[in-house]
Amino acid sequence: MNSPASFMDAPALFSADGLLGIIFLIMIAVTLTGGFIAATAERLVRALAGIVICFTGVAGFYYFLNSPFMAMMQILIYVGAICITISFAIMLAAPERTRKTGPANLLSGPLGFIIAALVFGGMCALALRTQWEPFAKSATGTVREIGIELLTNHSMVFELISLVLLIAIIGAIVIARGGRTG
Amino acid sequence: MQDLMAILPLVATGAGAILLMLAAAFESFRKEGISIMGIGLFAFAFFVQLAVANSGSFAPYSGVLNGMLATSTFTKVAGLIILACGFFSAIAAQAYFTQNKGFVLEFYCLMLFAACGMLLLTMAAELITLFIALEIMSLAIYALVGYDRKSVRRSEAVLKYLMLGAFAGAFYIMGTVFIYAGAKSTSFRVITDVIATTGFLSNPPLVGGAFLILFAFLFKAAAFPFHAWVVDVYDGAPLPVTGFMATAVKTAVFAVLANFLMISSDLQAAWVDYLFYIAVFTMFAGNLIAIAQNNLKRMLAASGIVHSGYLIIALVAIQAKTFTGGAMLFYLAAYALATLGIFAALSYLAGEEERRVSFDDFKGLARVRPYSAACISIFLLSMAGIPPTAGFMGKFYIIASAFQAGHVSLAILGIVSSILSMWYYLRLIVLMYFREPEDRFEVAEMTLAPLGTIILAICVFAISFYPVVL
Amino acid sequence: MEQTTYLGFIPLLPLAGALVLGVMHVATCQGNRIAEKLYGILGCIGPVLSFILALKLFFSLKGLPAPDRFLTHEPFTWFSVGDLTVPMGFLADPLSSLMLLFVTFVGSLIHVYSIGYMAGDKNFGKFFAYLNLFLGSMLILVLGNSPLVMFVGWEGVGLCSYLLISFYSEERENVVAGNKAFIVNRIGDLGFVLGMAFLFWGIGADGFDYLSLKANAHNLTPALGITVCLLLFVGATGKSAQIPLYVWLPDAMAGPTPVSALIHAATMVTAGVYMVARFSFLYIEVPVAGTVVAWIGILTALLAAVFGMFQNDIKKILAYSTVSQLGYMFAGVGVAAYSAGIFHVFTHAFFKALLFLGAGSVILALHHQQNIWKMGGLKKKLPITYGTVLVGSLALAGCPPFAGFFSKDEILFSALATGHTGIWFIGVIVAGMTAYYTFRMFFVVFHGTPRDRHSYDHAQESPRVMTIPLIVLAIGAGFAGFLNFPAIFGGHQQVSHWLAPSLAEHHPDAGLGVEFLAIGGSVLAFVIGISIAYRKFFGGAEEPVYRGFCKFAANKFYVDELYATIIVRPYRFIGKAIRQMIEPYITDAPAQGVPWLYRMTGWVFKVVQVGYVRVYAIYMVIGLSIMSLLISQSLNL
Repeated sequence: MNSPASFMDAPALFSADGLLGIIFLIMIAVTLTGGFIAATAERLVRALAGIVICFTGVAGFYYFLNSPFMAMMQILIYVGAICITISFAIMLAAPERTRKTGPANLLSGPLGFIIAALVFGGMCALALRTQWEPFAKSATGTVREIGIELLTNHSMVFELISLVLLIAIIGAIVIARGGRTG
Repeated sequence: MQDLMAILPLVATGAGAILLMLAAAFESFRKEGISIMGIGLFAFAFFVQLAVANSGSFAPYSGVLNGMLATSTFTKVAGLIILACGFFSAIAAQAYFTQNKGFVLEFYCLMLFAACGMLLLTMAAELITLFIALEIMSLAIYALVGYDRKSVRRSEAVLKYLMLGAFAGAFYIMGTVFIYAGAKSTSFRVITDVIATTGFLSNPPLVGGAFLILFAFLFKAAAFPFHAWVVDVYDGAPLPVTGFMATAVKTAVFAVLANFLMISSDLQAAWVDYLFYIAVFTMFAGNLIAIAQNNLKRMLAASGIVHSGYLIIALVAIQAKTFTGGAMLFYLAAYALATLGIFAALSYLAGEEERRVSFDDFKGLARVRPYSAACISIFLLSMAGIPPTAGFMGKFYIIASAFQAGHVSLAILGIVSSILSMWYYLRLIVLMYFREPEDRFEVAEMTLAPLGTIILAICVFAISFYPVVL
Repeated sequence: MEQTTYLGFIPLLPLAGALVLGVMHVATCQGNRIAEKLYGILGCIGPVLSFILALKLFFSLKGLPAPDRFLTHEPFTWFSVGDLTVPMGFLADPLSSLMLLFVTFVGSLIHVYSIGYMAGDKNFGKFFAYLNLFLGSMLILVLGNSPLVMFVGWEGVGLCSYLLISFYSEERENVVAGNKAFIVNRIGDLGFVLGMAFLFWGIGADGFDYLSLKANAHNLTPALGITVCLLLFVGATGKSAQIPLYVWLPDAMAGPTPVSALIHAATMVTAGVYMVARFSFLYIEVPVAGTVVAWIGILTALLAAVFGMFQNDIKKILAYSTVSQLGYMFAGVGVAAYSAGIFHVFTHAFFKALLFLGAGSVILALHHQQNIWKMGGLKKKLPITYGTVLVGSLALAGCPPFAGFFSKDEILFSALATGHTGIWFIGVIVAGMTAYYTFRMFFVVFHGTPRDRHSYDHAQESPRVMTIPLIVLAIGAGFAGFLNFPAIFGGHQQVSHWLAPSLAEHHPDAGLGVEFLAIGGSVLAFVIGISIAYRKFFGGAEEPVYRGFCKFAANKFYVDELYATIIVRPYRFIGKAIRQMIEPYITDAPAQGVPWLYRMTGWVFKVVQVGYVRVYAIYMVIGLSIMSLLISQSLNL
């Protein structure tokens, strides 16, 4: 993006850039709110809902980063598939009364917070102290480009993903079937 | 042709796995047939690997695969060790399933897939390929640990492994992202060039990325403080799978660690201090956990942590320019022999449904089954590093390499740790030989596993007397 | 210097035999037994094949021109530390080929003999396994191309002697004898190891095999040279039973008789002499060390001969005669007559093996009776044994023209020619004493009247599997001497010429007079010795009661008791004191504390290992955070 600008250089509120800025801020708010709900909710289902919100916000970030494909994938896979799977798991796993998160104890409370803060600080420091250089060839991250990459430079990965899927299927069947003995 | 030769072991394991998968669908292949096929395919893959072992180091199919795989003597020997581990684990599994219920026909297929992933891991020269390989291996291992859904211990083990593994996997991906940000590529070759021009420590994304990736592998290698899962997971897994995890996975992971650190000597130099402390803490934490165990599997799991500590010493001591990995591979081979041997022996001695797994269960084994007790003693002595076993030579090479690299204190701590480890190894020997038996130690009749055990026991001495340092 | 692969097979064959026999024995020790015949045949295959290979080796060496007579084989690198690479290498030169020939030949005969002697023993298989191992170790010792490889064999024979001496381990005495042999040998080994270390320190940098050492021997400083030579000799005194470490050999008679024959004739005790000859390039540089060796040797010869004159046990007499003959050999190598010393080793192997096997035949015939005063008149009962033992006795006593005469004469002549008149004189006296005690034994056992009627009546000649080796050995004992027929009688001294390329030796030039003096002295001493023995014992004599000096000598000068008093007891006392005072209070307390601490920390770790995934994850993240904090410090921006 642009280099940091002073307040005076900021675009007018109702210009196109200004609206974009507001939408960006909303995305931040959505993501943070979702994360906060996920971290503090007592009921697992609510925590899950928080994660859904959080993921949606993240998808927005991808859009702002010029990766509409990634944004789509984020919503499709994380919001659509993973969260739904987790909700199934919650519904299948435990009866009503234990469907809450565990009691906050000394370790997972303040300590967790401190650690999260440390990691956050570390990431910020890392991001701020790096001289970022824009990529020579701006990757727009369209489906077409990703497809071409996968079939040329990363053909090996493309092949191997099929293997991963095969193993995942076999593993799932083996576990789900519960032992068909020979 | 050379290209094909280089990836032939991969093809052999992958195709073998698919073959087994298909064979499982036929009524005519039952437990015994599938077992023999699995063992045979591992043997076949081993010999394929052996046949291609003396081609040089290069990147196969560099045009098509874009240098994402690279083979060298190091990767080939690591591959040999992995396939040998698979072979003996398969033999152990055959013995295990004659006495335990819950055999699934896809068991050996998953083992072969895991081995295929491990071979890929050792050969991968690019971060995304590496990740996929890691997942191939991990997914197969998850399924192997937890195939028996009805058993609570299995489910618990696989849950822990899966969750923490996913945790580490996430860190790996994060690290890849950082490295991509820092080097604009995920290929080892390019990263080497980038470090050569910009330097390593002056490129924070690279440092952060390498850090997270190392973290993910140290998790897989069960280094302190990422070791805690090992004991529970190894304990929960079926015996042959535990042996397979403890040896083959460890070999693959340390091969990757070495490959990764060898990207650039700057990169390795930046981690030496941390690896130093990690090695020390890993050794001592492993020792202390091992002492307190009364269960043999848990003790072996904890001792596996100690051995990881030794291997990290080797990582500290390697030099990028002259790297051959000889000391490390020798140690891995020695450790694999002893561990596989113990697990093969336990696979048949444990009896039905893993009845005998605690120290006390093996009281007086020497009276009833002198040969098994002798073999187990040989393996334990090798693990403890007592001459003239292979374990001694392995420790000797590692400690000598630490001395050569100037890490005298590390070498001394390694020796101290090895002395501490005698405590729990000798304890079992004492129980086996100096207590009266309370058990008749009946086990089902079988031939392969005891034979495999004896072969391994001989190998423990053989490779010690014929140390091939690369 | 080409590789000669079959060299490796010479020691390997008996070792492989040992492995096979050992596995067979262990596998069948409970329940189904394997036929003795099978063990016997398997046990003999290795030594016999080794002998054939040794012959092949001998002839291929013979085909080479004299200075190039060495073949090597380095199958693999044994270990490498820093710059030092020690190959597991074998070297065949004239010296080792000669040793190989008689070691494998005599060894094979002893194996064959043992089939008869050990028949019916319940550990038959084990015995042959040990025997093969013993021979294999000796062959490694002989063939090794460096002191380190020699040391492997050196320790191997030490171990096997221990195993075989205490072979009848049901009786405590035998075990004690085995322990004694082992411990005394260890003392000698310490000398050998130290000697090796000093040698390596001095000139080992450019290779530690014999050929490199030989090339660098002149670089050794005189002080270091003496130290090395004397320390190596300490090793030799242990293995070859010289003063002060000879005490184990007579006790080693506790083992089965073929073992005694093997220890005394072909293996083990000859190792020390061989070692000194092997290092002749060192000893020749340091004449002082040689003189010490010679004097210790000849004094041992004298002392053992004195003891030998007053023993009652047939095997003990032979044991002391071995010690005495070994003394001669050391006197020979000490005065730098290495080929003479080795030649005596060679001839001694034949007649001493013969005597022991003959004694074994007698002992077996009398149902394990070993006291010569319970024998007598066995000439008629055991004709073959009688004849062969007579040849052996004549050879031992140094009667011309039997084997012992030539080799012993060669040594005495060399001593005289190099100006060691004292050594020569003692040597001649010992020769007389040897003749005396040998024929004392011979007459008492075979002539006169039977002293124990009952066992005499039951005595019968041994089976053919035992008598054939006796006859073969008797031929050797009779004629081996002619191989080194001295020039004075028109001979060519083939053995000395054969050995010349291996040894750093100057042949002394001495006049005919000196040579005649030496021969005359020896013959005179023999005649006097044998005639005294004839007068006293031929007609049959009763067991004498020893008094005064004789009692003193019969009790071996109380040397064992002396060692017990001045070394063993104080040692035990110190050990006891340490055990009672220092161990519990000073060393044990921390040693007990450490495990306690260890267990406690282990327990703490077990508590930390709670089993909750989330806790494990938190450990991981804590570790990650701490490490990332540290790493962020090391960034340079």
